[in-house]
Amino acid sequence: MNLNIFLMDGYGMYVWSAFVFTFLVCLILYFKTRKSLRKLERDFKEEVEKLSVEQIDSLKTGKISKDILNSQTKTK
Amino acid sequence: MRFSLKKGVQFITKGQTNKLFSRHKLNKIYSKLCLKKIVKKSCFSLVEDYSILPYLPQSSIRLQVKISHSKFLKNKIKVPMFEFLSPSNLFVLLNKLSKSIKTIIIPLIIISLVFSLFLSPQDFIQGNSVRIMYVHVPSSWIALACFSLIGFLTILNFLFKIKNALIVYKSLAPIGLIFCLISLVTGSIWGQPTWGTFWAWDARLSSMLVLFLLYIIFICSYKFIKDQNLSSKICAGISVLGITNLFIVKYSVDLWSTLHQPSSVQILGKTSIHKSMLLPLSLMLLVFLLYCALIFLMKYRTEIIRMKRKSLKRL
Repeated sequence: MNLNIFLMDGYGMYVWSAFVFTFLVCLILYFKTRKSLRKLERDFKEEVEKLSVEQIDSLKTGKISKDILNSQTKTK
Repeated sequence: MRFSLKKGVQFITKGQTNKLFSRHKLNKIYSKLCLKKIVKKSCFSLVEDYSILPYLPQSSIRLQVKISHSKFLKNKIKVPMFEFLSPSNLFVLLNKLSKSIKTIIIPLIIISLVFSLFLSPQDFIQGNSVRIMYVHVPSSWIALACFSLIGFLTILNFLFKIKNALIVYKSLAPIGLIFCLISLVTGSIWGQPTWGTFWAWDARLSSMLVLFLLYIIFICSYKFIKDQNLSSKICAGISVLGITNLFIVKYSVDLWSTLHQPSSVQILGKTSIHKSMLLPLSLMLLVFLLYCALIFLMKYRTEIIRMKRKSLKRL
């Protein structure tokens, strides 16, 4: 196997570290955003469950609430 | 059949002023439209139609609705075209969009990595270290583009109090910050083999660092200041500073003698970069843009749920 592909004539350390840093930071942001989104959706669902039947009915007419509640039932 | 608000609006805008509805349905349309301030009470009147009364039981007396169109147009607050851009409509649409981005982004990442790390040629002077350009340049462009968009939206929100602009700039700011950080770090890594140092206080590098600090102050100002008016004022102030700094970043390499090279890719002028390097650069830019869209959609969703949770307490 040609190791020079990875060593890149001595520049490999710089090139790989730049790429690894970039994708690592992007992954961290992605997972952090996804985690906070899921937590908020879960909290929203819990708060909805505490409401009365009439309040839930009026809430379900809204597109946003319906979509959040639907996505929560899919993930469970 | 349930009568939705959308149908009520369609019913009015299509000009079906003399259609017959049951009392129950009419009451529903009427109360919903008035509650949402789409029409005012004065432009909505009910007239009982006695001609069909003998043939129907008392409970289902039909009513004729008369809507004054001139009054409706004068008093209208929302019409379907603008309703399409409302957060509730965008929310459902953007959710579908994020799912399709997730399916295409992984193959695109692989293709762009193969091109930028293995298939693209070495530079005559810089050798293989030029490959850092494929992450450094697109991330710098995105960091600059994000702040210009944020600046525009912040000023728009400050002047016209548009709630959607507030949600959009709150969702964009972390993306811009991350790409600014990537640009600074990868730039430093590239600086070591090229200039012999990780950092130099030259105009381009320093102005990018200022942009990074402005991003941090901007995010802190809307996160930690509870008073919305004060926070939007501070955000607008930071945006003005940031936009001024964007010009410094852009023209720093032309105005001052710097270590940083002038831009090789120009939208209006001649691009000095070879096609074999332009392709991986464009691919990586596309990947980053898709990633930005994905994060933006998730952040936008998060902000809207936050807003909805606040409205839950008012129920």
